Amino acid sequence: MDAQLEIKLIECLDALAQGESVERILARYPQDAAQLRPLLETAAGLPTLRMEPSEAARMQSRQKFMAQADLLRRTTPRKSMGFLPRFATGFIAAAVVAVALSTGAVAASGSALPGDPLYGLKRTVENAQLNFSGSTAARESLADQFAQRRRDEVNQLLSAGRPGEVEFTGPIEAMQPAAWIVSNVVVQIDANTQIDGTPQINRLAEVRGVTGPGGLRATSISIESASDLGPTVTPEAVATPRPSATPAPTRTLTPAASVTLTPTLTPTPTLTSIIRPTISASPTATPAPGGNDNQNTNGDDDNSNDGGNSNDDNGNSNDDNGGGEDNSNDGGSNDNGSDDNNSDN
Amino acid sequence: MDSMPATERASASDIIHPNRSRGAIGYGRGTSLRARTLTVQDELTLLARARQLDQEALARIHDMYYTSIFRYVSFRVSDHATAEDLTSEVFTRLLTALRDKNAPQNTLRGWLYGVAARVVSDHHRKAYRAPQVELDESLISADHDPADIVDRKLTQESVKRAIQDLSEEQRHVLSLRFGSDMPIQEVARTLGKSEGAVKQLQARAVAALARKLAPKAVD
Repeated sequence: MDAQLEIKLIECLDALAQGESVERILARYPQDAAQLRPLLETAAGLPTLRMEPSEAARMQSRQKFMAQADLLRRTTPRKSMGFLPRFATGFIAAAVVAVALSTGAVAASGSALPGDPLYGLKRTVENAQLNFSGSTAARESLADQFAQRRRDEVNQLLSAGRPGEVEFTGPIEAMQPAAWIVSNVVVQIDANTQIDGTPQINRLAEVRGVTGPGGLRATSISIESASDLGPTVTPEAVATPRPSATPAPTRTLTPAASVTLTPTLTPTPTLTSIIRPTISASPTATPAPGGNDNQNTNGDDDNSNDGGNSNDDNGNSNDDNGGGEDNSNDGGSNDNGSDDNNSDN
Repeated sequence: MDSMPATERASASDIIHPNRSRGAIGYGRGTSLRARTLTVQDELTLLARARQLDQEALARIHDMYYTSIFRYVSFRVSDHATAEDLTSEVFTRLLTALRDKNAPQNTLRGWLYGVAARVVSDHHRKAYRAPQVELDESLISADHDPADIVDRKLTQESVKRAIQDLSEEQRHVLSLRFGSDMPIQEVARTLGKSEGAVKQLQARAVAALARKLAPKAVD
């Protein structure tokens, strides 16, 4: 069909749609009538192909349609439950807290240790508290508290020789092939321990592991990158003058080796006996006036944190502790918080 | 098919109802309102309510479109019962789409007739595998006048088969135009095409069909 004929056919179909008869239309195109006739007659016959619906069929279809819609309406809310928990989590957590507070279970759960039936509640409540703490400062302070709780829990489990799955965060204070000291806790390392990041004294480490009569065995340790600990590096640099007064190597290597042998924290005698030389060293270091001032400020922190004997306890490493622990609280608890959120969700 | 922007669709509807202001035709006035009297705006409102599974809106949609879609479907199938089943299926698919959030966003009518086209095609694909009606080849032989063929009830099946041989778009246009009995403007609005494009599509579809029915009479 050429373009000319197509245009004529379009005109003819328009006329047909206006109700003109095929014969009248064709009369206007005498030259093309022969070609147009079969086309127009085909078009004219097409409406006869359609049927009209019966009223019964229409009603039946409507009934079926409305019944299906009704079913859909009733089943759809159940289907949409999928997204509900996402925004309702906070509300549910708040409800759990409210119920728990009223029953006094929270108070009971406060002393719960990993593995205890109430431990899950304890962590849930902590999460809820974090989620509903008003300001960032309040949240951070809470996070610090909770990070300290994690470390306390580990120590309690270890001193009782109880098995439990633990996680805590703190600065690496000493490293040996078989064990590290992280925030005053001896962490046993073996071939199965997964270590992420670059281990380095004073860096924050998030330790996951299992406690038992033999101590804490780490399953995974992830070390925060150096950039997270910018300020902590400086105190260590301040502390270095002190070892220089005494044989520095003895501090880092020999004592730690003996530490590895002690399974729990309780055998402190071994620690003190080895570290004593370092303490005797610090008096020798006192003559140096500049370094001393710095040490004293660090030492004050230690005293407030750990009590009277803490200075004797670790000497140099405790100084590091003082500076590092604040950082560890910040970083560690935040980590704990987010992990908990994930696991709860 | 629905590539036309909403603004153009709106202007197309203004052409259809040049003297009516938007919102003047509430679809709540009477159940006998035909699909073609609905403006784009009304349709959007109706669709929004349908998405909420609003009972009244859904009933309205069924009432408005059932007859037109039945005619569309029956244009291409051989018997009344099949047309009834397939028409009902179109509305079921609307509900499925609403449930799965695949419902049409702004053109209910275009969507419904598109689904009707697919439902009929699916039916023919199945029927092709298991043919139920024997095709009488003699009836579409070249010696017959196309008008006679169309006029006779017996030959309708043959014409419907010939329509199946057209392109998907040509089938759709003929079904809307001569099945659902839509004027050109309505077809254009449903397809999201210009009236000129629809007229051309229609002319070529008619010519192609006539050629299939009586090759010697047409060229």
